[in-house]
Amino acid sequence: MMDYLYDGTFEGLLTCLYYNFAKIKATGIYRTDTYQTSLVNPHVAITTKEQLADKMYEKIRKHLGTYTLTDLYYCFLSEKDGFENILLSFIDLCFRNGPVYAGYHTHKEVIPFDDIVGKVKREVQRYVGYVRFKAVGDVLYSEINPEFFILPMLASHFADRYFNEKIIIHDAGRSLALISKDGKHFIMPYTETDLPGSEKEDHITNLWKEYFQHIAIEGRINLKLQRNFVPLKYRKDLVEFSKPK
Amino acid sequence: MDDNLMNKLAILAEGAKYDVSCSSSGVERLNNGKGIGNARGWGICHTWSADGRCVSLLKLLMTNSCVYDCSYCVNRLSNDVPRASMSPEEIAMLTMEFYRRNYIEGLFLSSAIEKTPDDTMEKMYRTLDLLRNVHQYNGYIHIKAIPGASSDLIRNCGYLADRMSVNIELPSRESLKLLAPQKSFEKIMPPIENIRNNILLYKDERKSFKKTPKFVPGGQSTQVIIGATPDTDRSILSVSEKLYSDYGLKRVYYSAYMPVNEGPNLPSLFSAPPLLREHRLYQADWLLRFYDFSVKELFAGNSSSIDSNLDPKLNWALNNLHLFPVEINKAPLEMLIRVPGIGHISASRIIRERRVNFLDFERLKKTGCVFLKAKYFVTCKGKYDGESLDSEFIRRKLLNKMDYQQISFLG
Repeated sequence: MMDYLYDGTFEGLLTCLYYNFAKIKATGIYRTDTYQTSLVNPHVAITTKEQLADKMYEKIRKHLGTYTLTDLYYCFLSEKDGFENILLSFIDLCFRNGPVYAGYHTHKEVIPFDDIVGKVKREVQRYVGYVRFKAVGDVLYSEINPEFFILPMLASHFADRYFNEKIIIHDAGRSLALISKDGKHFIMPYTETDLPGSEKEDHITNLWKEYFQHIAIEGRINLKLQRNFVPLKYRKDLVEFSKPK
Repeated sequence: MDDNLMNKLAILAEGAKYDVSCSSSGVERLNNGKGIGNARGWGICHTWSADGRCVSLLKLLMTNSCVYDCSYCVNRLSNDVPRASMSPEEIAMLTMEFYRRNYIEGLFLSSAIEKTPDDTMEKMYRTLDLLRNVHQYNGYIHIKAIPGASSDLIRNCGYLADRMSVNIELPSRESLKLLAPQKSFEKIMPPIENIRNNILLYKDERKSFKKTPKFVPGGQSTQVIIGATPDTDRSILSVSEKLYSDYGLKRVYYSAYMPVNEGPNLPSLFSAPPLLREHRLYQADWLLRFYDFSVKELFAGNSSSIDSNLDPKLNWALNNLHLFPVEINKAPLEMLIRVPGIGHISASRIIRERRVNFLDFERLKKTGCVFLKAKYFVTCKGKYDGESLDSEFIRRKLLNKMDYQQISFLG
């Protein structure tokens, strides 16, 4: 019985899972940099090994299916405090009792897992629509402030949609950016924010704002309904909700 | 790039906003590598306007000056509203610029009829042609087919668009005669038939030739105005049912009539739009499309309107109590989805859960069904939790519980 510490990468997490199933059961999995030493359990820092991670990955895919595997990745992207242990108990349950348990939504180990996965998926779905680009030269730049680390899940959609464009989607809170060009994409550290605007850009933004004002039917105004769909926390990323300068 | 364009955009958006259709789903298409854009099968909403409706497509009229004088329409000939027109070039430019910034998912192009239907349809075709073949735009396009335009023009547009629609607006001949004397079913139906036939033809040819160009891959839709005429819910839904079964429509949209004009045959300017009725019609429409109900089932006996206090499925269940209670652990999917409070999502969850373990009431609550409603109609492991399986009793119980919900829905 011991706490496993990993380096914060998905491969690291998979390596921990591998040791958990192949060697000694883990009492918990934690990130090395935020771990608070436990008085009860001894801990060991696990070095990420790609080979073992691959092995674990294949095992999960083979026994639990691609769908559950994707859900595990979504759970990883949540970066929520203690998600590792929720993931661990979920996957432990599935391996012990068989893949049907992944669909056992009302089980006490599955509920919190489904909860996290659902939240991340919802945010990804939202940001597919919420990303707003601004043309800077021939580059399209967008700043977003999502709750979860959703950039990897946005990548293939935007890389395909803007196949012939150069795009930067900047996750300001994490100082990372998704960069895509010619259908290829990668994520890298990024901090630049004050990119120059242009007159044409302002004009198009104003046109959009004008359109947005006029498309609502006065007799049906329902701000509460609007807030359900566009929660206030996302509005700073949306140009149509920003106040005129 | 001037203020002129800004004004035109405002006027034409005002004119187009009463068109409800804003879905961008049903077409899955990847980027072709030449230009910009793709289409996602599940549809993407980009923002929500102040009335709580999603903005997925850039809804625009080509022009709002119209030769028709339909009483219900803002843009009718006799109304004194600012008029504007946009050229195909301007619309294509706007679409491209907005799409490039991920403001929109595609274009919804409609138009009033400035001169003749053919002239209007031709301009719309030119816009589509510009977008698809000059700008290499590969995103979603929804276009209105103008009744009265030549069938060749409509067909050519169909090869460039993802979805086409013709608005029926009023569900009966009498209503049309009353409010839109220049329109008639004889003019409205041919384009719908034309599009249906071409879709069928495409599907047939596709079997033999793999590279047959796609024709309206997102299917066609239509819109009906609610509350401007005395048409009953039953007659409206019967029209929808026929359109779904005989014409293969993907959607019928219902639009609560906003009193925009004064007229002898219209509700007064101060009447509130029938939002609750619209909501109930949508619920019933979903039952028709996804829950395998028929209009005949939804209306018991000779009733012709939906009870606005209870949702249509609950109404149906109360009139068919002999089918209940349903055993959650044994019932097939077709029966599960007919239980009030259980929809497709909770039904499929229940089925997945049943593979692992029996469901009791505690666990049924956690599947996400509306237990408040469902408990009167189900048994779990043979137990019944709803006190009494009596129509009057259930109705009274549910209405008391739902009182405050109803008020908040209207507010």
